[in-house]
Amino acid sequence: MADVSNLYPAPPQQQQNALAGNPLGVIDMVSKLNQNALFQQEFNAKKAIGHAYQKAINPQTGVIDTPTLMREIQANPDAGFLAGEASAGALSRQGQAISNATSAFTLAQNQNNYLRDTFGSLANKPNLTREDLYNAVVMIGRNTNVPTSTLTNYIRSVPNDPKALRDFALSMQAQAVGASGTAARVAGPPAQSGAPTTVPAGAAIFGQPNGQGGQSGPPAMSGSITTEPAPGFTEAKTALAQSGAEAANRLREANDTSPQRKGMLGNLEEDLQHFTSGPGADWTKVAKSWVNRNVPLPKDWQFDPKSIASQEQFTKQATQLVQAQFQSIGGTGTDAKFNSAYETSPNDTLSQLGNQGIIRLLKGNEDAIQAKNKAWLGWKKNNGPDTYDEFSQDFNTRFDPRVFQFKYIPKSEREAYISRMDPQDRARFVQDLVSAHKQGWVNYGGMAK
Amino acid sequence: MANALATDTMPPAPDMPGPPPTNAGGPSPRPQPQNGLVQQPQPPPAPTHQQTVAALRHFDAVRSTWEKIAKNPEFGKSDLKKAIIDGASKLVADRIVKPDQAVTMLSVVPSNPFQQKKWVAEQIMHNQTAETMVLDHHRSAFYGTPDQDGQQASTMDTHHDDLAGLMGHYKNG
Repeated sequence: MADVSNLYPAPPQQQQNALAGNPLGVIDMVSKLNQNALFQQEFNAKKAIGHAYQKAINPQTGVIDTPTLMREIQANPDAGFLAGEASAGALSRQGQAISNATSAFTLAQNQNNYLRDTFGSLANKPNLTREDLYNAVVMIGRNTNVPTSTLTNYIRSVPNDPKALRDFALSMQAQAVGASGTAARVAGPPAQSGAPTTVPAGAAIFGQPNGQGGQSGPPAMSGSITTEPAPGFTEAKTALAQSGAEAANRLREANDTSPQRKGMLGNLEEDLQHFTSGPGADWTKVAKSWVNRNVPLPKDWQFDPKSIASQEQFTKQATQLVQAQFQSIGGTGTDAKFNSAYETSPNDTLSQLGNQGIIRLLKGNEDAIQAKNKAWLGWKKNNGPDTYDEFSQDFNTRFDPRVFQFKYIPKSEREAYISRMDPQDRARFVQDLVSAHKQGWVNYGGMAK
Repeated sequence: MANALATDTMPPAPDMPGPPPTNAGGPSPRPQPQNGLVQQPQPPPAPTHQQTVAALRHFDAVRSTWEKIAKNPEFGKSDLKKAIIDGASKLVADRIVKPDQAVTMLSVVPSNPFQQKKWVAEQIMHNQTAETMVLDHHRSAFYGTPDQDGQQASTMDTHHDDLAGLMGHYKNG
């Protein structure tokens, strides 16, 4: 049955809340809203990171600059949602790039090592030629990925000269050994004394024992050095050192007793001034007087006036003393310079000097002994005690016994003494005189009467 | 016209092989044609160690000759044919090239200084390209082979034979 009320417009029905009937729908909607927000955030973040990547790519090289990328991600808030993942990815990619670069470097390094080893080993060939270079280049080509142009450049860069080729091989050898290897010390050539030495390995590779220049004398092969003394060198050096030491000792002993001998010679000279020599002269008076003034006689004193009874015996004694003096100085008594001051035949020359002349000669020799000993002490300080032979040779080239005798010649007789020399001898004497004066061996100031 | 020092004696460019580590020890870097398929031209066999060494020796000596001429202060300004003849004569004397090859080369040297300069520059460039190609070809075919066991080394006595063998590869290719 119809209801009257149906004739009236129905009041608007209160719309039911859709969610009221289904509370779970609220949750669904919230979830969808969240998803939407999540999508939006992710979208924005990806967009921002994409922009960051775009800005980080070098337009010239196409390479991504990771620090720039990280800065862009940090600066854009939209990128924050995926900043962690993006950073991790960037760092991972950077790590991979580093790893790749490291691998490439290691590969190149190994190839270069092979190249240096191969070229360096050529230095050991006794007769290195350009043919060896060609063979090495072909072999390196077969065994490495070193670019062909690099290999052919080696051929082009090495001059067509055996020495330059060996220098190139040595240089490669040094590079193969490396900085620490070339700095390491290895056995070097013996010192002049025969003592073992060490040199940097790099210097040894290039055949430079002292690390600065080439070794003395042509090496058997460039790059080689001698580390042992020659056979017999050590023995010979020992014998020479012993001989030199003995000579130095003789000089020192002669020098030590020289003032005493010189004093006695002064006494003898004075005694002779009161003695008239000549045939039949009684030399025993001189001898007796001299012995009385000079007792006891020093050890090894070569002059013995006690036995003098004649001019001949005096001359003979003087001869023996002169010989001993010359040996102390380093002469044999037969050297030209010594002979020029004194002839070994007493009857011919020494007797002609006259007794005063003989005494001057003996006194001059004593001065020479002292001068040489002084010079030796200076030399020894700079060159070592085992170099007496070298010193003596050097000294004797500039030594003239007459220079020392000259001091005891009276000034009035000096001119005549020099004028008796032949011109060549005179020039040499004057030269030696000046040299001795410069060396401080002699001082003629007020020395002769 | 052919040039005895470069064009003629210079092997034509071999087909450039792929990366070096291919066909190690084999004579050719390329796969063989299969039955039933259209026969493709055979690539030239790769040069042996001796042939490659001979080639390097040749290219090095020729390069040195041309570079010496190129360093002449009159290069490009005056006719340097005399210097070129001297250089070719030295190469013959050093047994790098045969006399007939030198004559062939000298017959095509321009007299005009500018053309001469251009011609020499081309010889240097061709020489360098050929050198690289031969070495590339050898290394790609024999990659990883440390030594050529059982084979004699190339020497000046075998130089012409080694080069002829190398040229034979490329002419037949």
